[in-house]
Amino acid sequence: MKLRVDLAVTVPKDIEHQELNEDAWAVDETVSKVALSDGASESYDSRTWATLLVKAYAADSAFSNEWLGKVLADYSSMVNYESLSWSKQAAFDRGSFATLLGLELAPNGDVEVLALGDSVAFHLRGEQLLSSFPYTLPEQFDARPLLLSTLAANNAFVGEAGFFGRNTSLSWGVEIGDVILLATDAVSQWALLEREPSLEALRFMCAVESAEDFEHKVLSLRQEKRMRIDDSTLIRLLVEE
Amino acid sequence: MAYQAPIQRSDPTAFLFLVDQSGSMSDRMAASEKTKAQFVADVLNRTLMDLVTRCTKADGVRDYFEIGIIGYGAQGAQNGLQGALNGRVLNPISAIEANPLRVETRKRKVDDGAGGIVEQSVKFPVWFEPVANGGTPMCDAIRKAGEELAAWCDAHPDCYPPTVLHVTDGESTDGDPEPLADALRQFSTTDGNVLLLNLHVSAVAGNPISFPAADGGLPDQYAKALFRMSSQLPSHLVKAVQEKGHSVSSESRGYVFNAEAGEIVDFFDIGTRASQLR
Repeated sequence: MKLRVDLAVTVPKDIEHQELNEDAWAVDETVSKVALSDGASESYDSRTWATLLVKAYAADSAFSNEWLGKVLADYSSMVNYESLSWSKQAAFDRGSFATLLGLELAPNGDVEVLALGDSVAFHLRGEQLLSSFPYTLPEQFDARPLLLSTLAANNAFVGEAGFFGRNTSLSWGVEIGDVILLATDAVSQWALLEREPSLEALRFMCAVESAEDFEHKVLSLRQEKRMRIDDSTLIRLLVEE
Repeated sequence: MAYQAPIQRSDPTAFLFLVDQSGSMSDRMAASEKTKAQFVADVLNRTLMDLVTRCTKADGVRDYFEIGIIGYGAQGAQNGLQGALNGRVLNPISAIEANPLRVETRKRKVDDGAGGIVEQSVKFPVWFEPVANGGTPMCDAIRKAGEELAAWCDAHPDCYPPTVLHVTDGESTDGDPEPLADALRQFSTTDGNVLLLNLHVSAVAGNPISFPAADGGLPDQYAKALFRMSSQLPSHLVKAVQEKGHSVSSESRGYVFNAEAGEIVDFFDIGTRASQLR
């Protein structure tokens, strides 16, 4: 059993400025590890932070304090602090923040999801939503999400007792033909809001064929105030033989 | 629902600070070497720095906010920003970032990540100097704020509405400010009315009253008038007050009476929250 990236599309919050899109995703060569990250707007350089996190997960999914420490060191090594203006120093000190949604297909065919923040993974079989993680209800997006920070002190929750229990899904037993969707918060919230009567939003996410069609849909949903204006990313994975 | 417009570069919001610079602001704060004017100037400079920081990314400063200061005292009500920022009352945050009066360099000790401590230079910008002189022409200041914000709301009809943070330690000496404050709060965008938050600074240690929902506990007519002049807090600011550990309700007003150091810092922090930056 293996995964295939069937679609990976993103629409920036400001449609004129794709370069300011702070969502990032990565996959390893065998498509057994896929990661998606949503960089927070109020951050010094969340695009870089999100990119480092997903690349690190695709290279090594064994998330831990040590793992995070290495990514933090990579981030710090990219900045010459003394050369920054006062405002950039202050913004760097304030930190950068991002979610991390990591999905791994184990050799036995089980899928496990690590979720820090409000990016969500959905497991579908046919017309049925079997599972979503970490959120199952649209109201959950109203709370302040857990975010990984470039300030080590803000990541103390990583070492707490029960961390993996809270932040990893139960194993998903996948079958050939299943669909797994990974999406950042605006898309995920819409997917959970418009579930009735028959998973309209998720059905669209399973069926959309091109970046153009996805962008068109996102822009019209924003216009109708059915989707929040935010960087909006969807990754569609197919389970194949 | 009001006060929910996303703040983005095409739709910024405005923060206007009204600062009492009358002679009594030279009194020392309770248990402090600093005068009220010095303390307020320090907190205001730190607040401007925080606002700039929130808008600063690795690739530059994004104009999410427009910022102004109106100081009032011996010279009447005047633009409290100087130099390149003096030409207009409300300036985009990128202009604020580019034009402090000076940037001080201070040293601080930080963890070097390997168990040691290293000294690091950090820069502190200053835009606003403490002044304490003359009377309290509060009406003049609120009138000037009204002129600025009426024009701002006309130019930004769908933006998160402006917030006025007013800091004073005494009674108005140029008339009754209440009708002017009522008029100021009537200016609006489609996302809500101008928010007017009032802070009364105390020089004596006492019993601060933060974000009251009624004027019953306030000691005099003047304190009650400032209460009536203050906007009811929108729900996201009620939440921010809660996070600071103050008791608060949906009826609470944006008013702090008899504020000491901690209340002043909280007032500026809470008052400069707005809806989410995009």
